Amino acid sequence: MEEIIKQTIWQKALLIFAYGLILLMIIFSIMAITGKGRDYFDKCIQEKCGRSDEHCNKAREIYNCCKGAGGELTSKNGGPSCAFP
Amino acid sequence: MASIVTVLLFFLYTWGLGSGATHFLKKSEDSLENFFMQIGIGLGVFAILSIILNALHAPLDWRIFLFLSLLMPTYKLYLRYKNKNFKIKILTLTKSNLRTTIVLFIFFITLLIYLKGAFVYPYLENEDPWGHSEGVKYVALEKKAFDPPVTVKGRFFDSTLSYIDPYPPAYDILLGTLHQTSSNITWTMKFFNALIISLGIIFFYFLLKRFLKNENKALLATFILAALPSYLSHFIWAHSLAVTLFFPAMYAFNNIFEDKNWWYIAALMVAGIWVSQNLEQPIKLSTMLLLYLIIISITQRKLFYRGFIALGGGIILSLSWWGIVVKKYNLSVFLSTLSSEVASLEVASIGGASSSTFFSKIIAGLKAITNAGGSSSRPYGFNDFFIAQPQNLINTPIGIGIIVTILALVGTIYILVKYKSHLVEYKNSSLIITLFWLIYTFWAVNGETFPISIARGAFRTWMLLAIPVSIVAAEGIFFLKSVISGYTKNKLIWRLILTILLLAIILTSAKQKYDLNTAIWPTSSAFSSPQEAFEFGAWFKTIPDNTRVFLYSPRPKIVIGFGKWGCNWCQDELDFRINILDRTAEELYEFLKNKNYEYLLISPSMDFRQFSKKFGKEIINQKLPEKYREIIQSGFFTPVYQKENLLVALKVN
Repeated sequence: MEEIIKQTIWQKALLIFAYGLILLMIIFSIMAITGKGRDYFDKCIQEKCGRSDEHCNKAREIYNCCKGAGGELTSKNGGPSCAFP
Repeated sequence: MASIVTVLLFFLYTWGLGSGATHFLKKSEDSLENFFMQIGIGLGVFAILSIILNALHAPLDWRIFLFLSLLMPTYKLYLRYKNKNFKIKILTLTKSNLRTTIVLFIFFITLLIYLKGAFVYPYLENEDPWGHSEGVKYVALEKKAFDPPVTVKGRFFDSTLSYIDPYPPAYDILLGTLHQTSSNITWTMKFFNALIISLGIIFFYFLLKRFLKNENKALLATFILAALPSYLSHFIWAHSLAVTLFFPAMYAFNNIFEDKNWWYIAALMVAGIWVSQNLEQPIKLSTMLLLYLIIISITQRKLFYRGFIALGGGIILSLSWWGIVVKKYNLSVFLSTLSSEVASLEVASIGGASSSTFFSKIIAGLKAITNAGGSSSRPYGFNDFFIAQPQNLINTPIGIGIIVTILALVGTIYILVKYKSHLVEYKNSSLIITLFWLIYTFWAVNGETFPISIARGAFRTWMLLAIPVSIVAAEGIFFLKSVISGYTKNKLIWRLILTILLLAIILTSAKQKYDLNTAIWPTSSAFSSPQEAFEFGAWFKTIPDNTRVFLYSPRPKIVIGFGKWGCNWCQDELDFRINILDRTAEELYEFLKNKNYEYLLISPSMDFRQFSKKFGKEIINQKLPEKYREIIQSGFFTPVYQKENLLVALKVN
């Protein structure tokens, strides 16, 4: 029969912390999956613009925001744009 | 081109230093494990030793490293001679050795793939490797790793060599030392970078053998790590060394339980990590080590103080680099180069703004080390993990692959369901540590996806995520084994399923890794296309290694990266380049002749792009053709090679 050893408070805290973090990762992941689309893209670009104008117009940054929002990079008026299905 | 002697020297340096450092310690009974882990430990010892030698202003000469590496093995040989002990342990075919043989096979395949990809084009990829080539050349020639005392107009900090001073230079010192005995820098960098990453596969196996205490699981996890596209590509940068050193470091920490004196090896490995890359990976890897130490302390119900001393001691030892750098540049300037957040704060502080309090400094520091941004960081979606793509980032490929993702999910759920509260018991420490590593690295990768970021450079954490993923995926396979064992005792069925699983991993992860790592990668923005770089490579191949070639464009690192010689750290050359377009053909000739340059290389498209940045397109459109005419008609130079609009190589008469 397996010996039952009482866990210390630290062990209990570690276990709760581990489960709590896993739960948090699941919540964050669901939020990330459901929160995609045009709004996400616009918010992402706004954040980039907040850093600098250069960030705002860089093709790579637009690509990164577009991919992150689940869109496809296209071309519009000679510049990069993001299209959503 | 290839230097077999240098390959032997690499193993002599690393094995010699590793063997010497661990001589008085209790080691494994497995001689193959000892041999390979001594190489891994030697790699870390080399890193910190080279920094200490540099701090003492000792020349970074391969003969000094060879001497230091051979000290202990020579002493051991002497003891054997004295005791007349010439017994050689013959390797026998055991199950354990068979597993090691499989790991060595995985290592060779990995190395071959990386080498195939690295040599499929003649140039260095992207930008970082060209920058490293300058550092490597500098160390090889100057035998030191402090910036040269030169100034460049308009730049007061880190004016020449990007990956030396304040950047911790252990990676460039290692390659520079190897370059001293291997004349072709391109081959040296490509080969040894691939070798270091591939050796990591072996170190990982022996670490897991100890950590998981299950050789089969260790073998499976090693196979999965080698198959993952996200675990290090053959891109040449300091991350290759820093991440690889994590395995011998963890191995040393784990061995403290066998022999308490392993703590100093652990400290040396931590120090090696901290002097190999510019803080980002050292901070992340140290966080993973810290998680290990905290969890071990909790599960064994006793503070693992030797481990903490090793971690702290290693970081303190790395001050042999960081201390000097901070003293040299002063803390404010040094910090401002690390992050814009700290920089803005420092500016506010200089301006007397009251906002720059102690707490705001702490917050800015935290922001700096948890800034998820970076050139390739972006929010990731499910498919980025689930489907490994052959077309990918070249420095940090992303993606896990369908089968490994499913196995990792199954493995994680299995661990949680099977062990429940027993997860925090000492015997299950490796599982709870792996879970915490998984959470940490997964969160770090998703720094731009999740509301809060916990680590710097989200995209550069993919390689670290691959470590716990491979372990939990191996757990997933073992879970499947236990399920199938419940239905049938026929081992053949399990072996068949395992074979199918491994093949599926190859098809959904390893193949994409192979495709990416053997593709033609893009190169420096100095070139307008890879074709242009191929043409450069074709001409450079026709002249001997280290021939002095002066590139008219202000990008001498291109010459160095192609295995020739140019000087970006010579003050006279830096000065000459400032107004190079105003120099007459005769002045150019005199300068090149005095500096013993044999060739002048002109690349119209590169020159146009580079000079336009400084002088404007209109001026350059008019001035460059005139300059070319003057140079060619001067009689000081003889054209020896030409590719229309791409390059003209001129012999300095």
